[in-house]
Amino acid sequence: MTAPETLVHELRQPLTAILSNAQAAHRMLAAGSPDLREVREILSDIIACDKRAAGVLGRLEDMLKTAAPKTPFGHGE
Amino acid sequence: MKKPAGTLFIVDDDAQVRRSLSRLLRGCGYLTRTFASAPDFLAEHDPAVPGCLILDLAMPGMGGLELQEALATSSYRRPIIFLTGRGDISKSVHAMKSGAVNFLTKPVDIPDLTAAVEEALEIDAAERAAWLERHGAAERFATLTPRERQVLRHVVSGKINKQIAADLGTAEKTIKVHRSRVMRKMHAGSLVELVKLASLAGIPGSNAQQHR
Repeated sequence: MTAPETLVHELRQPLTAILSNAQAAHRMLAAGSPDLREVREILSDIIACDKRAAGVLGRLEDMLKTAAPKTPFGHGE
Repeated sequence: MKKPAGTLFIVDDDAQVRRSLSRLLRGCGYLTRTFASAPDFLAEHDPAVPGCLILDLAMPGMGGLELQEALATSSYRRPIIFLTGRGDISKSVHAMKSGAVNFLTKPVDIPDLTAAVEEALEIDAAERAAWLERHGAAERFATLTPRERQVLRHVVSGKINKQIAADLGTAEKTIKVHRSRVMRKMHAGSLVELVKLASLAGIPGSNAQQHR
């Protein structure tokens, strides 16, 4: 039902958020005297985004399995 | 830092993406505002506020390209940085041709993002100055009465009061009064300035005939 392109797009979103969050935290720490509450929030967001990405990855794996169940090591055998 | 002032308007349907981009860019010293959809942004869009758009290409409902089109027909075309997947080459070509400043692939790295933002804000500052001039001239022109507009058109086409009076079938003294009112309302200090303002306001003929 879901096209692989849709899943790729769904994977891109949390990865975007993870990178931007990590870079934001990195800058805060580099600037000195960071707001620890905000750093904690950022880490929580990164964890949530990573889990979300893992969920999408699982769906992508299922899709690949049903698409090619008998050739796990490629074709030509 | 010599950053041009401006707000970064982030439009993305994903809450996590909005929040993280906004965090990162605020950390870099920019002002940000976030919107969950293109219509949300358009509903609040004020062309007078300096800044650029950071826009997701693929959104449900009204997409990034449609928002770009809507802005192109509005009074001010704000610079746009598109964020997108790698598979959208044909769309990106279309967007660039329609005046997008940049096209960045998600996930976007901070040096690429800030470089694009700097460029977009500089373009906004330059185009905004021209827009304000045009916009101001058009607004002043709108305050003129129909008769004053008539006189203005004659004046900027290089006619002297006597000719205008003859053309409009009235006394030269009356034209003088209209003319000084036009100068005052258009904030023009000289005939040259008036011709320039008329041209900015898009008065036909004001450009073509000034060398006669």
